[in-house]
Amino acid sequence: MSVLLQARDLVRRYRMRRGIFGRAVELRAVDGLSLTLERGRTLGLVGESGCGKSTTGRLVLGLEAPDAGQVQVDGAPMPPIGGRAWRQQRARMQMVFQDPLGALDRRLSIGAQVEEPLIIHGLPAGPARVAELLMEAGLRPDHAQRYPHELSGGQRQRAVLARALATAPELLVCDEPISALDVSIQAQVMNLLMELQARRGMAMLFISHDLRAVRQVSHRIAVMYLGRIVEEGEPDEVLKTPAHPYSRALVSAIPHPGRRGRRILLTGDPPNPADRPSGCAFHPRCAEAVARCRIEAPVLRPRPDGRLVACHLAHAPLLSQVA
Amino acid sequence: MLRFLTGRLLRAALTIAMVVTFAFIVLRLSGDPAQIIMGADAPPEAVEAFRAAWGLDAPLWQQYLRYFGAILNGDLGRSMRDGRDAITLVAERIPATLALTIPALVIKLSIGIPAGILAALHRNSLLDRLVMALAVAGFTVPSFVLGLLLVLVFAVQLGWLPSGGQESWRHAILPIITMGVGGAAVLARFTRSAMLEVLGQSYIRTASAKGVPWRDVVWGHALPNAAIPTVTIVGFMVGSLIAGAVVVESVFSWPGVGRLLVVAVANRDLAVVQCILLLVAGTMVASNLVVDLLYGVLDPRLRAGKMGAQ
Amino acid sequence: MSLVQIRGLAVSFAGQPALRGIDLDVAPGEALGLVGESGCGKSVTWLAALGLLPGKARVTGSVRLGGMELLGAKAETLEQVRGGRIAMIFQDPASSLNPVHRIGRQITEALSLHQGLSGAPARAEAKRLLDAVGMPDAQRRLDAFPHELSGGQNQRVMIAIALAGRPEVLVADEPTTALDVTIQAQILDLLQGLRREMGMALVLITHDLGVVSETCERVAVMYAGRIVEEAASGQIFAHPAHPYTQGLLGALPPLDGERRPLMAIPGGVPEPWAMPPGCAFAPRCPHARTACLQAVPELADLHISHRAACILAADAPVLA
Repeated sequence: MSVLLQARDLVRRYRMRRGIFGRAVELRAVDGLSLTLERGRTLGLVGESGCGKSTTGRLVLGLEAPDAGQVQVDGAPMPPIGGRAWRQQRARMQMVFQDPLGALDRRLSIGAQVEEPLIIHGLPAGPARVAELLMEAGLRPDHAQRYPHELSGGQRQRAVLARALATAPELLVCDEPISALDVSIQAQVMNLLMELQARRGMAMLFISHDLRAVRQVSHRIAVMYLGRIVEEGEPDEVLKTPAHPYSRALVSAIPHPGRRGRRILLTGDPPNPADRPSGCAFHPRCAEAVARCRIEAPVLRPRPDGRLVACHLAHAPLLSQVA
Repeated sequence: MLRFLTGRLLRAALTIAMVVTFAFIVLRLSGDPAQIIMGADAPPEAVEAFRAAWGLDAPLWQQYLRYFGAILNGDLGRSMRDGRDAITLVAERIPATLALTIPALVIKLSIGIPAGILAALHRNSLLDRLVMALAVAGFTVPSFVLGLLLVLVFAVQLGWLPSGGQESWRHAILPIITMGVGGAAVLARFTRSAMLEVLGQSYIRTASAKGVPWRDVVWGHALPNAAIPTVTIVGFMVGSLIAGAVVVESVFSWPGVGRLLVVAVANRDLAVVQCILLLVAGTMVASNLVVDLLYGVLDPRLRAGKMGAQ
Repeated sequence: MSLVQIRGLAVSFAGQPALRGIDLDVAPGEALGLVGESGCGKSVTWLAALGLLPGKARVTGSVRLGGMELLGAKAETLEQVRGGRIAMIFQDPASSLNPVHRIGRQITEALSLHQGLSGAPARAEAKRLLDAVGMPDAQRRLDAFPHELSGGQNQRVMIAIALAGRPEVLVADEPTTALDVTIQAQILDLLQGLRREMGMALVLITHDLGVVSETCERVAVMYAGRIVEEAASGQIFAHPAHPYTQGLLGALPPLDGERRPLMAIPGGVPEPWAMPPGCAFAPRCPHARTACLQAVPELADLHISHRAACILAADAPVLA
């Protein structure tokens, strides 16, 4: 499997102010994140709100410039935003969003919106090509004349996909593409994404909070917490034997028909990225935290079995009692 | 908080400075005050003498600096027509204007807001459509048209009320009504949409689901939230207590600040015009500042940022 | 003897049917799951029962609470029932709380309405409720505003408000859909615990079958304004009889086993103005026959307390 995109030590900071009268705080949405995207394979990025997964998606695509770290596509660094090279690169990487209605222009017909990328990048356009793309996404050619508000949620997401595929991108970043859809439509869209990947050999970054969906479509899973990846590995392995305490809580929280086992309940709420805990960001909610966790932030390192984990205890379980 | 206030005050000062500068430029560029005041058939030497006496012969930028310096010292100049202090002239007229604008504001608030609320509570009913139709009529008809119509009906035809001047309290009725109607109409429409927006929110449904009687839902839950955007418009109305009567005062020959402004502009009487503009800008800016502070009181979300997650 | 008895409840908005006649029972202390996708009428059912629908909704049928008819009841009666006997919490807790009222006031409002408490005793009880729903630092939170709390905390406040009236039924309309998965787990756990402690019935409305399976004893599946299947939750997951229920279960990505394309139900939910004749699910059903298009199937008993509205299931139960 060849590497299409490599992101190293990405950092993205935002400055915000607390209310009209408050003071300025710095928020680290992404704090030292590295990932690799292979051609034709899907990396699933899982995490809850505030973990920075959407920001990661934008950094990977080059829609935002990282404050530190680098994104390399095919070995070459991401060109500066807005420049000609960067615009040309848009044809190679596309994004699908959570809210299909918001992602479509209300005033343009579906056909016009699907055709637009073709025109921008000088590719062969025309109604026949548009019809081809629509059918590939599971719509009918006559949908080209319709407007977004005339379609259902699932159909809109298909239209967004058709538009994203117009330039035959090598990378598709999907940011919560199914959470706004009904359950049966979610299944349709997941099937479609897998089919498209198989047919076109696209790499995919599938960002979601839904572990089930991520398992279904991904070849590899990375779990994010407060701007960092805390665990990475094979989906089935991560789901069966999660190594990081957060992953364990996440997996046990999945509602499961017929499961009657005990569930790990985390105390407290997902943390505020503007109020970062010291040391390991997860330690305030971790049932197994020891003194070291409060002081030193763990690094994402491989275990002997290949799993990547960022946890002091995961690497030397026998020594955990001594810390 | 302190930083917020100083920021706003600095911005306010900048606004006022811009208004004054703008007035200076426009008035100076639009005609020669000396010629206008002295008259078309005045001898050129008299006009020249007038100009020299008032410093109009100096270069424009010099006049500007002199004027600005004077303002910072508290000296707002003198009327070129009758030589008295601009401040005194203007201050004399303020009570007359307030005698119209304050009762008019009371009318706007006491008719406009309840009408808007009622319309929202009975959305799409006959009452709603009637109120909205009246509101549209109210703010589309220009105030001078309405004023003249009222004069026509009540002064000329029916003879019940006088048509102009300031002799008795009866003279104030028509002007006050004229001003009140337009503002009430705008307020009714605005309050209605603010209420409708609030009534569509989830927390109203929660309140009903709790078993709160509808009257308390409206008074305790909806109105406090609808007040927030309404305060903006009311702020504008308060800010224009001094300035808002220009047209009406002219129609009804009411000797207030508005009429003074019209006369002063016609005469290019710079000091008076600038004094009034300063007053108007000052009132508007002060009112906006109060509105901003009120937001903080009415809407807790604006007071401080979120302390919890997300 | 059921606590809540719904018979033939139908709702339409401007001539478009949103609920097309449902029969439902809720026993005291029972946990019932109401599952369905958008537009199936699961929320409308309870909004109609409590009289919370806008005036232009036409509601027919009967909803009896312990023998008392709720539809068309006087305003004062309904106000007492809402919160006092049937409490409802909604999907997005952040927007479901009044942004300009403090948390304490929103709870004591319910206490004053349904338990006649006010002043210091009300505040004390509000604090006790917040403790009961697991809110950390409850005393301080009484003076907080909703925007100062997180989504999960706001949902706890909603639950505390709902409990203030000591209701006999708590209707939770998608209570965890807007929340993170780990918080969802906490809230569901909380609801379970409270239910057991207070002997309260729980109606859990959701589109997530997994959530329902863990929390509810009985499940009713709704489609296009009707109930299409109803059974004990174990039964529904082991032996779903209605093709729509089977489709919903098949659409859930499995957590183990081979990765295969999901069994996706083709097409979408029909719009209210374009309802197919006969069974509303027939156009999307893999087993549809001509008979399905002729008449709307009735909810028929398959086994003990397992009903399905499908003529094929009634004839020969199709096992998952």
